[in-house]
Amino acid sequence: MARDVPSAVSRGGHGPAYFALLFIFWLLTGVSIYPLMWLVISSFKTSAEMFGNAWAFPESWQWGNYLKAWNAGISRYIVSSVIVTVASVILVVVLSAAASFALVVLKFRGKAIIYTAIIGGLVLPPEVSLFPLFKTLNFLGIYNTYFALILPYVAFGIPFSTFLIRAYMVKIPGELAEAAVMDGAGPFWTFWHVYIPLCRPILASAALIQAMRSWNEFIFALTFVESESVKTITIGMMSFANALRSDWAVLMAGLVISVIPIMVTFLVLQRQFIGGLTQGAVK
Amino acid sequence: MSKLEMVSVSKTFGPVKAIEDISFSVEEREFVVLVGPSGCGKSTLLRLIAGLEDISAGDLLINGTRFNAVPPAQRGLAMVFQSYALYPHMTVAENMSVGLRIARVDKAVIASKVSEVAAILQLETLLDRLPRQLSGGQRQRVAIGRAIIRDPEIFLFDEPLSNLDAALRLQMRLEIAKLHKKLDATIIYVTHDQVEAMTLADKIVVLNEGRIEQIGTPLGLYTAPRNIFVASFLGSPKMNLLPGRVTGSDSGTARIDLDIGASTPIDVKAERLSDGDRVTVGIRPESIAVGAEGSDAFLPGVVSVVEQLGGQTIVYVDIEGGSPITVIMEGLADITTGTAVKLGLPGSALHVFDDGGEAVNRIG
Amino acid sequence: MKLTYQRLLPYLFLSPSLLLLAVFVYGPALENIVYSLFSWSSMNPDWRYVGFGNYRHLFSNHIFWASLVNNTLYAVISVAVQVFVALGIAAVLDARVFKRRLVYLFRTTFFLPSILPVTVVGLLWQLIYQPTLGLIDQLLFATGLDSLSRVWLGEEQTAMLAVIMVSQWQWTGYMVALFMVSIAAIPRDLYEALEMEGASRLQQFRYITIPGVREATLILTVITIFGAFKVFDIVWVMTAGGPNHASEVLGTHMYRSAFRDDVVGYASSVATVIFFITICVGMVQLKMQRDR
Repeated sequence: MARDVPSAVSRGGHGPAYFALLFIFWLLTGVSIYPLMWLVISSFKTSAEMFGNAWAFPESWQWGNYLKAWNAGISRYIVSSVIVTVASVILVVVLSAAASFALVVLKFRGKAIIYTAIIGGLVLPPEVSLFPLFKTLNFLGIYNTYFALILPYVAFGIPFSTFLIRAYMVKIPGELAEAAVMDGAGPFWTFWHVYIPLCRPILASAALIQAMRSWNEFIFALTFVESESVKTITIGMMSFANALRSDWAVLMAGLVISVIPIMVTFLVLQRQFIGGLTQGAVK
Repeated sequence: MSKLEMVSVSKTFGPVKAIEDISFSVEEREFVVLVGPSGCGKSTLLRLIAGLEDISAGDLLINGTRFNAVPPAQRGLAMVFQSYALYPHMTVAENMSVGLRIARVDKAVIASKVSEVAAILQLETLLDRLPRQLSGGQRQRVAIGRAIIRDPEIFLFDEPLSNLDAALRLQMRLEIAKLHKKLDATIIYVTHDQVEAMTLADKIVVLNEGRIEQIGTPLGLYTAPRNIFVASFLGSPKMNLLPGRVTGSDSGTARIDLDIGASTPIDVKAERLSDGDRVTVGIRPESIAVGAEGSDAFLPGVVSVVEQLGGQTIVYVDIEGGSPITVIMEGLADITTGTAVKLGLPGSALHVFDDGGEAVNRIG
Repeated sequence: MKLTYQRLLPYLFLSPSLLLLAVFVYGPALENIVYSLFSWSSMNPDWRYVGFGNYRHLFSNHIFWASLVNNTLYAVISVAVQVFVALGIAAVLDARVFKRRLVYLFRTTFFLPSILPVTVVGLLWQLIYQPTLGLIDQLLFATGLDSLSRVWLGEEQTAMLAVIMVSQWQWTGYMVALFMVSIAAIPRDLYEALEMEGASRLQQFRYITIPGVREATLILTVITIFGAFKVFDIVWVMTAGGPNHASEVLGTHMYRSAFRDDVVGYASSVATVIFFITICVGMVQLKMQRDR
């Protein structure tokens, strides 16, 4: 992170190297966000305008594009995504916190093996389990339901969030758990009244990360559900795009709608977001 | 019957023996300090008593009943942790009442107990604060309050003062001593600080490498250490230790030649020694007389460092052929670096240890 | 009874996670290897044991090799951009060259694309790459470079690269943020000590930043390679492996084999290859994370 003490370079006069760097970074910023700005601006144009001049602002803002996109089925996809995301986030956070608590606080045999077994899930790409999972979900009778997405998301989300939460719990002084034991507390009390409140920041990070993963997940959503009513936004947008190949502006309005929830979350919780996503990956 | 008794207790962690065959007892209202260098097993011992670790062998008796398998919370003990272990997200009042709340004690009873204990510890105005809003000393008092509120049979303290700065440590030490009197409490207290041990304890248990070196009153240990370890662990600055050899022993009196001054024989009563035995002679810094006549032995030396502490002066004297000797002089001594001095070692203040480091005798 | 309860209790906390992992992660991954030894399809419920037949078929299939080459290309470019370029950007952002507010602004805008769903990114860039009407061609026309214009996603020479570039656009900022965390963990006084000796910015970068982020660089390189070999979504959205398999990667080859060509046994053998590649890469990562 940047520090607030001004450095020798920025305090002294800005040399040509500084301006060269500044130019490069503004250019990179442009490359990063201009496509998004273009998306938003174009989504307000008429299709004719889009073909006319890709760079200009719309002559009149076509809010109707959004209405069309929304009515063309986006709303349904959003509802599915919200259900799948919320359910998987809650499950991942609760289960990972419980597992981490056991790994950090409780005494039992085979701790190292179990920890490795959980964390080992990090190296298994979902692609590899795809076909057997397809069969398993059919066998369980949950193919083409929300559960067909929620349960795999939770299973594949647990390794990373356990990794995160455990690393945080390890830093909580063990004396707190011992004090609770002396106070007559059982493990459930200690978990619920001591560790959960103290882990709130990391639980929030883990929840954010899982929310993003669930919201953005692709291959399972593509494979494990087929009804429009169960499709999440990522896959829904594919059908949506196929249906609207010719009506760019409405398609773009749909794209904008589909990122609004995650974008708003990001802008509101920016610090936790970047902090959470970067935690654990490197130290 | 003793309040608490440890009988041949051992604790092993895998192949490592942390505690070996330890026995001692704690009487009603006694203040017992477990002291020793870090890694000596004193904290493990306390955790065995608390029930945070399982005893590998031996018995823990409380009021005569075997308590080895009793869960920690049901042992009637309360523990004050080194880091205080206050729950950071709970207020002072909540922290103190956790145990009662878990035990589902009536709310009104809890409230009255909290205010009662808060009054004892002068925490009344802090009850709604969070631990992070408290000073170190206040946190310490809350941790003690959490113990008091449970009205335990025995208080366990695990190095409770080690996180405080020097001034506060002195103050809290006094408060703990007062509290002991006020509550008529039975206390087992772990520390590595021999000053805490000396000032607080009714009884000291000196531990080293998982074994008991000596048990006794502070003064008893100070004046009659059973071995070199205890002798040099208690007292600050440390006891001076001078290697020597027995040259003549008859009728219960041994003559010892110190390696650093062959011409200064010392008479001690010592039936167990025979000629030629290697021994170590110990003398506390305050027992050495600088330039005084009439001592049983004299050592010539040169003052190398003088530390004026105000109330006393610590003088380090280089001795030819040996390690420097520490001397404490009362008041502001008029002595400067480089001065040649003669150190008098009064025979009555000498401790003699045999080759194995065991005390041979005390000269009365 | 009390003791049994105490002993089993930790497993009560762990079992939901372990059960889910077993049923949905490890079990299927192992089953997949079994699947790959059979010839079967969704139409034809008869499973015929073919031993390593699928693998023989696989290793003689030029599309498989082309995919592997594409994955490798993906990995090489991604490491160059998302590891080395990102490290450079992070170092500049950390070096207090820019004001703090500017640093935050840059970091946030660079990071932004990484939170977008892959469908949105893919569709957006499909539009950007659109011949004549898309942003790229418009840019070329505006600057008089019309001759460079082409059907970016529709030509065999450019399709793969065009997709790879989108990945770089999406993920480089994320890697910058990771590197900034790692660089920020380097004690400040190391820089100050070297500055006292008159070392330049570049020398400070060379002698303190680089060694300081060595481990992080290794781990991030591994993560990047990992991602490049299991890539599926962005390719599937943008080109579905086309045209004429020019942008085929192992993931799309696998998916197409199963759900378009209906040779699921063969597709499982592709999955097994992905599995072994990522396991090898993952082992390296786990080992490095444990060593640190």
